[in-house]
Amino acid sequence: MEAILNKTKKYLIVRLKGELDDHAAAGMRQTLKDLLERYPDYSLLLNLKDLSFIDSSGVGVILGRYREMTREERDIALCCLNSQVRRVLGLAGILKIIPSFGSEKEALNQGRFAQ
Amino acid sequence: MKKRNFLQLEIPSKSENESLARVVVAALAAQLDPTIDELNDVKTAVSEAVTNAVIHAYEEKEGIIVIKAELYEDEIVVEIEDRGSGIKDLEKAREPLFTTKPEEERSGMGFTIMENFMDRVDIITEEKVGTRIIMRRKFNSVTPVGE
Repeated sequence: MEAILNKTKKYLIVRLKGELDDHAAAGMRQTLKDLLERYPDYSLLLNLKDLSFIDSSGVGVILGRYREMTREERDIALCCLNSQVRRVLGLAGILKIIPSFGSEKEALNQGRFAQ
Repeated sequence: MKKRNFLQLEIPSKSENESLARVVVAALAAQLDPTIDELNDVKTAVSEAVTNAVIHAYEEKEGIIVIKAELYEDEIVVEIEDRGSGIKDLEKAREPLFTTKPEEERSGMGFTIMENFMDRVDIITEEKVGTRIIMRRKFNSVTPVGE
């Protein structure tokens, strides 16, 4: 799977493309960790529009980044969830702790990703 | 009920086979013409069961995973079997957020997803012998046509 990076002044917008399962999890975890380390002052917006599948292994990767960002008092948000991704993240309780938006624009307009 | 179709698949416990397994079972389920959401539920549950076999039952070692799926008029029954370590404490394993591998950022949501996305999940496990997970899902969108 792929992670495509876009940067604004304050936000790293990472578009995840493909299927985030156990097989892809380790690679994607490292990619995101490296990005967050390289840009320590940025907030993170994960655009999941092209994420065609996620399971509990993928939930672990997103939850891990949430914990890391929260520990560093940085913001994280999600946008553009399809129905499979929404169902899995909803069941896992992710949508209760990470703000989620309908579009990138909507997310960026929320400033610090206020709920 | 009449069995309409079935498959049996043996695969080595490699992580790249997690997607192979879920795609094959979903392709069989698609023959009943369920909704996309119903199909995705089955796909996700299969992914969880096969991932469990890869990362827990066999850990780093390579073993065989046997996948059987049976298609009835409006229902699919999927069985995923390994001959790995077995599950030590099944009750704990089924609890949401419980994981034996927290250091690997595992979410502990595998069984919760299987149980929520399928109608019924039966787990038969014995330490050092292996685990069989049998999951059923009825497709409400599909009308049985009768015998």
